[in-house]
Amino acid sequence: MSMTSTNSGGGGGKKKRNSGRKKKGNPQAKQLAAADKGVKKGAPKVEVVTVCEELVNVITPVIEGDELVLLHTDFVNPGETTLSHFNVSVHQSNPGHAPANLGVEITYGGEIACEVNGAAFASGDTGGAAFRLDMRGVTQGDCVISARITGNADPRWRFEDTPPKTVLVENLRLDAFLYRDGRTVDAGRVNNLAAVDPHAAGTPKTRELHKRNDGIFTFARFGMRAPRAAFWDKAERITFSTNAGPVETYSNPAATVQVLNINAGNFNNNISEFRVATTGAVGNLPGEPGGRIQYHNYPVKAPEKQMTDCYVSCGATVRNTNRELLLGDLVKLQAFSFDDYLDRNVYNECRTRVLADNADAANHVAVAKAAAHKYYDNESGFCRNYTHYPGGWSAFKPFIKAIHGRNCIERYYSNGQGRWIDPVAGRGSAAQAATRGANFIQTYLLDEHAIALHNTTKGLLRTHILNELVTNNGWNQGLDNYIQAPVGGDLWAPYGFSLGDGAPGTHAEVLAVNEMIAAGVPAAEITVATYMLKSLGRQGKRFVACYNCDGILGAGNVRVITD
Amino acid sequence: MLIFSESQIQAFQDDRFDQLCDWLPAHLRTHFAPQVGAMDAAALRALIDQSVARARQIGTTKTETTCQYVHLRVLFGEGFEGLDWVADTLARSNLKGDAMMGRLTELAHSALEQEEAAE
Repeated sequence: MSMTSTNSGGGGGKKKRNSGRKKKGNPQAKQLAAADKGVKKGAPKVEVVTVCEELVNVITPVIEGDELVLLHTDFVNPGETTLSHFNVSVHQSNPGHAPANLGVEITYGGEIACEVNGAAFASGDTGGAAFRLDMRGVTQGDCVISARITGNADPRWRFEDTPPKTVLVENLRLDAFLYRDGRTVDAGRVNNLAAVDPHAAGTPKTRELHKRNDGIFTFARFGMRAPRAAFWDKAERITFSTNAGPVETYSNPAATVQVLNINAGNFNNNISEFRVATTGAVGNLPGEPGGRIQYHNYPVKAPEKQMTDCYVSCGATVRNTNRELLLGDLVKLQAFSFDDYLDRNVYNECRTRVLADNADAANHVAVAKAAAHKYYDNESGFCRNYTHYPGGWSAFKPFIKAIHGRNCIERYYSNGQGRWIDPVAGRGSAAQAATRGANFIQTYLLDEHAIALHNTTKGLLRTHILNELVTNNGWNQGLDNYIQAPVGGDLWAPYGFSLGDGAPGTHAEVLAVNEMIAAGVPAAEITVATYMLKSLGRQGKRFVACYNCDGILGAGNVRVITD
Repeated sequence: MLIFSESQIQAFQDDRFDQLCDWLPAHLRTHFAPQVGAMDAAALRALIDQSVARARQIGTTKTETTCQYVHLRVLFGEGFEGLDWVADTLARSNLKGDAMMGRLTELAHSALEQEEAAE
C-alpha cells in the first residue's frame, strides 16, 4: 500500500499516516467504489420514466331529453300537462378540478318557453351543474337549444361546447263536433271539423254528451287534426286519454271498438275521427210519488240536467325516450241522462202551469215536450192539448163526419134518446176516409189554433186512422156505436175512435213531436215526455199516451218515455 | 394522452429489475471475486434475487441504490443488516428507499475506513 505524505515533521505523524492510509484506501472500500462505478457504467436501468403531467379537466355540457315539444298555449280547458324536458348536466374528463361556480348556460329559440322548478328560465339564463329544463311549445316549428359551460377560468380545466339540439314543436289539435256525425238541424251551422275552429271562434271545447242508452243516443264525435309529417320522426303515436270511468274512446261510429291510440296511418284527409261514449248503463226514470200530487209538497226538480263532467285529452309518445306527453288541453264532455233531463224539464213546466193557471190546466189537459236525442240542442216548445174549438166544443164529431164523408147526415131520434147518421153510400174507401180525417185535423189545427201540422205528421196521423179503420175493423163498425151510445158518453166510439180520447192528432205529445218533425228531425230520432195538467187523479204526473197518440207516435217510432 | 395505471407501471418495473438481476452475476464476479468466486451460478443468482427483493422492500427505485444494497450484502455478508450502523439506519423513519441506501453506502465507506485505520 503506497503512502502519499502531504505533511512533514514528526508531531502529527499518525494523523498524516492515517491520512495517507485513507488515500491509499481500504480494499473493500475500493471494491465498493469500483462496483458502484461499474453500475453507473453498464447496469440496466430499472427506473420507469413517467411524465407526470396533471390532466386538464375538460368540462362539456350535456343536454338530453325529449326532442318533441307540444304546443302549449291558449288552452281552452287546461288540464294536467306533461311538459317535455331536457336533463342538463356536465361531463368532466378528469373530475376533481372544476370551478366552484360551474354552471350551464342555455339558449333557445322563441318556439319554446322554458322553466326550471316551475320558475321561468329565459334563453341565456344559467343553471347549475345539473338541472331539469322543462319546455312548453309557443309556436310550431323547429327550435335549436344550445348549452355552454360557464365558470371561472383556470389552467386546470377547460370548457368545451357540445353540439346544439333541435326539438320539434308540434300543435296537436283535438276537437269535438257539436253533433253526432256533424248533423245539425240548423242549416246555418257548419257540420264538419274543417269549418269549425274552436280556437278561432272562441268556442270552448265543451259539449254535452247523452249518456249511453243502448244504441239509441248519439255519441260524441271527435276529430284529431293531423300533425306535420316531421312529427312522426319524433313521436311513436298519439294517445287518447279520459278521466277513467265515465267515458271511453272508440274508433267506429257505433262506439263498439275501443281505441286508445292512433298513428300516422289513421289519418284520412288530415283528420282522424273517433267517438266517445259514456260507460255503464243508464237506469230507467225514477219512479213517481204515489197518490194525488200536491204541488206545494213537490219541489222543482233541479238541476234538470244532472251533468257529470268528463274530459278527453290526447298526448304523444316520444320516440326513443318512450315518454308520454299529455297535451293538457281538454275537451270537456258534460254527460247527462237525456231521458231524465226531459222528464224533469216537463215535470217542472207542468208544476209551474198548474200552480199559475188552473184554467189553462183544465182546458189543455196535458203538457208535452219533444226533443231530438241525436241533435242535442234541438227541442220543441211546451205543447198542450188542442182537442176543442176556441168556442169550447169538441173537434171529435167534425172529425168523425170528415171520416164518414160529405154524405154524412145527422139525424135525431124523435124521443131524444140519441141520434144517428144515415149510413148512405158515398163514403168511399177506408183509405179515402183516412185521408179526409187527416186533412180535417190539419185544417182544424191551422184554422182554429194556428198550428201547422207538418205533412209528415199528417202522414203518421193518416196511418193511424187507416190502421184503426182497417186493421181494427173501425170501417165496418162505422157509426154503430155512434148511433147506440148516449149523447156525450165516453163509450161513443164511431169508426173505432173514442170521444174520450178526442180527435186524434190534437194532443200535446203529437203536437210537440210535430214541431220537431217540422224542424227536420226524423220521427225515430225524437223522444217525447208528457205530464198531466188537468186536475184529475194524475195531475202533475206522467201522462200515458192515449190510444190515438200511441198509434200516431208509434207509426213513426217516436220514443215516449212517460208511458 | 396515454395514461398508465399503477399496475401497469409495476409490471414495467418488474421487468426492469429482472433485467438487472440478469446483469448482476457477471458484475459481481468482476468486482467481488473474493466474495462470490466460490459460489455457483444458482447460488449467486439466489443471492442476487434475495438482495434485490430486499432492496426493493426497503424502497429503492433506482439501479444505483438497488445495486448498492447488493454490494453491501455481498461485502458484509448475510448478517449485514445486523450491524449496528445498518440496523440504526434502517430504523430511522426519516429516511426512505433510495435516500436510505445512499446513507448506508456512506456509512459503509466510513466503517471500512475506520476498520482500516484501526489496523
